[in-house]
Amino acid sequence: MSMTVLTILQFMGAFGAYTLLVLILPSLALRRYLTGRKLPERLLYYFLAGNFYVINLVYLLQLLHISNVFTLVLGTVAPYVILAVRRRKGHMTELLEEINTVLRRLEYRQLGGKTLFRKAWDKCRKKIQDFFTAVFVWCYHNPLECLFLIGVFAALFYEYGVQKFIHYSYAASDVPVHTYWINYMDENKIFVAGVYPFGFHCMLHYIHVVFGMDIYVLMRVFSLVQVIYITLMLLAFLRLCCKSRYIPYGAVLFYTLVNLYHPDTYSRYYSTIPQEFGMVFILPTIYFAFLFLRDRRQELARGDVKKKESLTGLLGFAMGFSMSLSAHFYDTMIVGIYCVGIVVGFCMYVFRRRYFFNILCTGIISVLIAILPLGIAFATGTPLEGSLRWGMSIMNKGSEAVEQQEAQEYEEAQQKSRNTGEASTEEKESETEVIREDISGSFSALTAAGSAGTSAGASGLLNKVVSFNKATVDNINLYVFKEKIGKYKNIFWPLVCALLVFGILAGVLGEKDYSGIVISTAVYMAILTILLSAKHFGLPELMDAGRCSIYWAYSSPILLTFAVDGVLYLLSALMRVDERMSAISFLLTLGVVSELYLSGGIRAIRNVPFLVTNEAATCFSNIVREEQDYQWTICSANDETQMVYGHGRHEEIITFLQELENYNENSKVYIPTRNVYFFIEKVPVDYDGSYDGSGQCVSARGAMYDLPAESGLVHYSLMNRWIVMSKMYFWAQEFSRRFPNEMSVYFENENFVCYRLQQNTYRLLNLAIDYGYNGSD
Amino acid sequence: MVSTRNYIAITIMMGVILVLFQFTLLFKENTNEYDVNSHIVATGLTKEDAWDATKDLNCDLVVFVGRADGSIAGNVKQWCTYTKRKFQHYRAMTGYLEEQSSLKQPVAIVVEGTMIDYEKELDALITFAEQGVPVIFSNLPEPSVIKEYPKLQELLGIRKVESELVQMEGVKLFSGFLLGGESIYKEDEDADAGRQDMELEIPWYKTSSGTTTYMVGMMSDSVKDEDLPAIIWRCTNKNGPVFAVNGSYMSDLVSLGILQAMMNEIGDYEIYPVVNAQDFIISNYPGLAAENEEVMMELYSRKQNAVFRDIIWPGMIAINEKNHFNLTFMITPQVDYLDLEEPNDEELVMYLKQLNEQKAEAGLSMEYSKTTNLQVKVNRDSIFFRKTGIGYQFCAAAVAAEDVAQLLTMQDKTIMKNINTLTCYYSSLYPLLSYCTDNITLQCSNSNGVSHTFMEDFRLKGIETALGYSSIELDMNNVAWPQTSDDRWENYYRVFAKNVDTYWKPFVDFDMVTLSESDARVRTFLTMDYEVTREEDSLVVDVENTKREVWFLLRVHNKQLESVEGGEFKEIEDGAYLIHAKKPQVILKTKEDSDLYYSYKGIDGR
Repeated sequence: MSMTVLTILQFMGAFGAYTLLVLILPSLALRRYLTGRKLPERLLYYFLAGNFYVINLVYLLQLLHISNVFTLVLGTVAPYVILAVRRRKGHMTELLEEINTVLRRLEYRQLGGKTLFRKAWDKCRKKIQDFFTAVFVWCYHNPLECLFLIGVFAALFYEYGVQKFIHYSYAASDVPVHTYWINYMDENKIFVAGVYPFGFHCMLHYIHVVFGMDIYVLMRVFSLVQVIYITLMLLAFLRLCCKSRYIPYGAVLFYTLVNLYHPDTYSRYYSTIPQEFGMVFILPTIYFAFLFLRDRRQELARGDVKKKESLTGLLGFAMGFSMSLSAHFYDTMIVGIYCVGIVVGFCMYVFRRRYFFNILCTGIISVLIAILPLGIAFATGTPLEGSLRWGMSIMNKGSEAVEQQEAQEYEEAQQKSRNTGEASTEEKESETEVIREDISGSFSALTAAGSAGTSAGASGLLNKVVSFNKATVDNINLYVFKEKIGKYKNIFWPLVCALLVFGILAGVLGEKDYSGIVISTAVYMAILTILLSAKHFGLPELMDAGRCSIYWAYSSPILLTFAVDGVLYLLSALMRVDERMSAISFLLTLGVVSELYLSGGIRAIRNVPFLVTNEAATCFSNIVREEQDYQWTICSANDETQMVYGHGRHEEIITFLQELENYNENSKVYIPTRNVYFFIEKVPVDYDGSYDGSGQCVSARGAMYDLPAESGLVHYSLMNRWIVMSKMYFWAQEFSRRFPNEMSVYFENENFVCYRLQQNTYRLLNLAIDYGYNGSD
Repeated sequence: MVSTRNYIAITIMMGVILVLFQFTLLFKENTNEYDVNSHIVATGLTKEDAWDATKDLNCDLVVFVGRADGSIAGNVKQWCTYTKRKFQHYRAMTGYLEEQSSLKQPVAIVVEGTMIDYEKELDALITFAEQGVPVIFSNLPEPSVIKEYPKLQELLGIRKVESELVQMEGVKLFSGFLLGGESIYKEDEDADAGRQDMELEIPWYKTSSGTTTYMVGMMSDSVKDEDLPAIIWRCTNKNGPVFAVNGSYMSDLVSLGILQAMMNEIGDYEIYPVVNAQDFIISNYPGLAAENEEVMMELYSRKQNAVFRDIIWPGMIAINEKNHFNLTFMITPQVDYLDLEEPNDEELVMYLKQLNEQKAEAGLSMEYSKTTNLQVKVNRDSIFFRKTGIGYQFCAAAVAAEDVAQLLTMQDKTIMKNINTLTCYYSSLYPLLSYCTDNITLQCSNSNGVSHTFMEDFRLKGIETALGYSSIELDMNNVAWPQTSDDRWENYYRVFAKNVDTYWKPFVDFDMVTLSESDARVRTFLTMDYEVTREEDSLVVDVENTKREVWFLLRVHNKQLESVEGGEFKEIEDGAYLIHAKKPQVILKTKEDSDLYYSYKGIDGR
């Protein structure tokens, strides 16, 4: 079996497990409560409810230190039992008698376990069949949408799937640290490195424990699951909010395929990390805020004050907001900004008594739900995790203190890495550093341009507006788009203004909800743009521009969709051609996709800089499959540190080489497992960027350098990695010469070699030898 | 009341059943060719055909430096003969150095560590090691000498001489060196009481990096595993491996296995011929005369021949059927030639029939206790067998090692005419497997089945590793003439059944054969020569000097044997394969041990 097939199967497993948890199972429980709602709306609700329940269940069990497969399954089944009991209210005696009969039949062997299981499965299967039947019915009645939906999936698999299926390993340096945190949840040690939003970790822990998928596998493939759901949430949101039927598909395909966005706006989608996991909650949360306002308005118009219908929106909003906070603070910030937009867009309602307190209470409760586990942990003595303090310090101290704090945190993270062999946290990841370096160069030009504009007409409002426009647009171009955007770069603010106009016009035409949504979006985009340019305007940089650009890019289809949708809506309203709107939107969408394809505007599959080689991932998968647990050790550069959890041991190459330094006859280095695998990159990967000699092979020249004296992951960065790998390579060569039968090549190609050392555990081989490069001299 | 019709039907049915049962017995009786020895394998090979290093100019060379008359030299020479290598002896290194230029490079230099003049000869040894020649220290010099020469310590991979003499609790042999897996030779349980006879006082050397240890002494838990006294190890600090044996194990027959195992460790593969024969000989059984009547009646309430027939024989059948042995029974007409009891020829016929049914072979026992000499026994037995007129060809005979020479002088006697092979307990008088005359082979047995001390177990593993051969000779005289309660059949049977079931289990893949069948294999083994060439992942083995089937053992590291062309194979244990060569050329195809289940063809992922 090839690694590609294995990865596809693993992805299918992860996607299936997550879909079961967040769509299928919630649908079984909640379907009857959402009867009459639109399918996308129901799916969004199931999605939020599923995530909310699973994540909080794991939080609860972890805090009680009783999280294991039994409690998790029990916790998952419990709501269904409760619902069944509630449904049978008044008939409990019959239910208990029924259970008693089944148990007796089991006891007397009148009923076999298999039969019982089959009967139970038949019932479940019927519900699952119903679910899929509903989906198929929808497809049958909406064939064009179905086709577009298939197109969206195809685009996602093309842009992200292909890359995932041919590159099997991690693309971000902070994946090992998240793996480490999740691994410790197996021992009921949540917040092992300090208090941090663990929503993402809880979900992966659940899938790992209940579905038996290894964490390292999930960390490899779950990113594709994430990006599929991120895109589907965008699609569902647009589909629910827009007037036109097909424009959302065009917008989503545009966002997925177009070769205009800066690679940094989507490169993180290749990695399984919390921020991107949390992005799936942003738009559902906003949609349910819209839904609440609509339903509440309708209820009040009917004179119904009991919130029967609007409660759905309120609950959805609460769950979504809570989940975004549980996953990543940045996602909550985006939700918050959109909420500000909603406050503006729906200012006619939100401050009314019957809305305001509902919203306020819901907001408070959702925040409390999200931070309660964190608060409990903090109150019981668990300190805040480093990056959390870093994030809070940014918000508290503003941009001036950021650099200093960042440097301090960075130093701390490096110290921690030195002690535990883990990667630095995501805020210190190399990619961001690179972006910042790029940006810092650009900022001077931007500031100069701004200053020039200011000096030209310091007192004129127009000049200020022009200056503001230029600065923001330049920031958008710098962070969000590639150079290709060219003449369209000034379109942003006109689009925002157009949205405001459409919103006002829609309000005038009596479409109050649509008006609110469009205006909210316009305001949201405006604020997001200011956040993107915060540093330029001297505002507190609540979110660094690199991260903000991801959200901006993610929100841009909403802006475009509402702009086009607004035009179509106004045209249809003015020309009274409602029935033709679908056709126009279909043609427009088809036009967008065709234009993308014909003009070559589809972006090529990105060559993501992966930090672990495919060869290492292949060897690792084989080792896990072949070896008995804990009978083996991998000696490699960092990334396998946490992958081996639950299976084997890991030894850092740098630690190993340090022990070999200054060899003498009394030197002793033992690795106490029967098999030891040495992962050596013959062409070291560019970790943390490239250097002058990037791509060079290990060599005697590299081995002659002193071992890097730096701490943390610096050992494995840039040229240091070449030195370390060169030394390791020559050690392995010399050791296999001395022990040709014990040390063999497990895998080798032009880029990578994996040696396998088989030793007698009762008489371990002393790995300390003089391999010719034990010291600088 | 039974009707006449039913009565007749029942009678007919009983008659039919009676006939059917009797028919099978009659059929067996009439078709039992008990007077034909079906185990004879005519090879036509004699001592003249045996492989001789002096005739084979291309054979590999093994240089031995040490005493020529010592047991180590004898064992090394014996091993060289079996592995078709030329044995070249020198009293001192200087002797070899003088002739070195005219000789081909040796595959190994075996030195008696105690006989080397390190002042003069150490540098030469180091030079050989640096040139890549494997050096084997069959024993080590005194610890004081080792301390004196740091270069010697480096050569041997000794980091520190911890103690000049240390008392160990036991010995541990790691798996992968000798066939049969890991063994712990330490008296831990009552069952092991009295079995400890390993060398437990040796100098304590701590090995340095670059060494692999195969056997260590066991001490208290306070000593770390890596610091335990090394007994057999390999050092690869030089280009060629240096092996060391701490103790006197190379003086024992186990050295055959140790030397072969060392050769296995040198390259990534080693293929060598083996006999592939496991003999199980019951000597002095059955007895045909009712001797020692008083004791037999007291112990078993039967006469001796009744004890043999009614009590012992069922036990023999049981163990034979359970273990699929092809037993060889060494018949002794009588043991006491001074009493008036004469052997019964009817008993002989009965046993021959039974042996034939059990596919066992009958041989002759030439051991005696109650007579004046071997001559008398041979004469009396010749008269007896001549008188019976049975045409069975007795091809194998069991004899005491000290009587072999005398017996060979009586080849003109009736009972000696058909003898092709002799067996005796191993002693230093004869090699384990050899020709004792031009036509008669000598196959020594290495176990008596009842005693199995730690050293005997170690020796068994060594012999199996080197030759794929073992021979158990269970002496039934002990039961017929018991000295202690241990000699009572029930005790005797229990002990040897347990031993055979336990200690021979790792070697079940070797063939169980009778002594005549084993004789044919030994003759072929001693005659054959072979040449191995390597072609990528294949090993081509050309068998020379014989067209008969031969067997090889293949030891590989980090590889697996995939297929054998021209023969068959079976995996004995991890990395050890028994090859049955049916044709003169055998091609062995190997594959890497690490063929990955999840494959990766490669894509530039950076």
